Amino acid sequence: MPELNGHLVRGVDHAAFPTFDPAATVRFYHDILGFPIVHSVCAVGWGPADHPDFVHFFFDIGQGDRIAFFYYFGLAPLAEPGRDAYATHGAQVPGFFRDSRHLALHVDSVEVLEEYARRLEVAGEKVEMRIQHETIESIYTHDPNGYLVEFTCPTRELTAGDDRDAVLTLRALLDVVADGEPSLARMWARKADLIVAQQR
Amino acid sequence: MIRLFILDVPEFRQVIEKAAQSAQRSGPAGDYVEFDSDEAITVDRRAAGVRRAVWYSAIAALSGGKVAQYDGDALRIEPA
Repeated sequence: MPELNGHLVRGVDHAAFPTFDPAATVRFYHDILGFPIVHSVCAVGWGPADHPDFVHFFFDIGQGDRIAFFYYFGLAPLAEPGRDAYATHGAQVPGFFRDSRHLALHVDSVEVLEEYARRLEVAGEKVEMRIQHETIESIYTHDPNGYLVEFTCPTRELTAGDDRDAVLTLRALLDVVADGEPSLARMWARKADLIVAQQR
Repeated sequence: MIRLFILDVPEFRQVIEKAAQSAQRSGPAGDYVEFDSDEAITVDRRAAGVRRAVWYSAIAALSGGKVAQYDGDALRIEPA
């Protein structure tokens, strides 16, 4: 059992942002800056009824920390190109998009996760969600500014296979975005072609 | 023919087991498990014992089929 007093967070697990231009995002972070593509989640929209299908993809920013993006299929841009995709939002912007910009702090164990949940609750702050994701378990709250803050601990190590899958995800996503009318179904089909081509 | 790919990782192991029971053929394909079938592939979420937060990202890739149902109850893929 870890010591649960004091300052227990271990830096950034990931900082996450929405994107309307995954191709430019991959070019900037991967092609230009050389950040490895390390993980992706491709999911059918779930939770809020207005949640679109989405791809959540991650780049390694060193020391195991990551910068992550959400691409939402079928969502028209909510900000002008080149503008901050958050600060220009009005009240009409859906919650899933607002919350896609968040800071996820790393903790080493479920016990520490629960300690931060306890600290929040003792102070009258709300732990809004506790979710076991694909490879992490997280709690979420909003800070007084309305920014979503996540505390997360890994439930398994990411592997080279996860990273290779993420590379195929982004190749498929960028192909269907370039073709126009991108959708999760088209991305799945393109990715199947890429997987089959790799097997040959 | 449906060609479904699921990433071969622990969080999808139970989905892989149930999909293998439903598909006509299944086997490893690199980092994935591939399921081929001329008939519908169905996975019951509760029978697979998969949490919702993981359930909705189980499909890595899919060709030759369309998703006819993907909700809290089941995933059903039918031939395209």
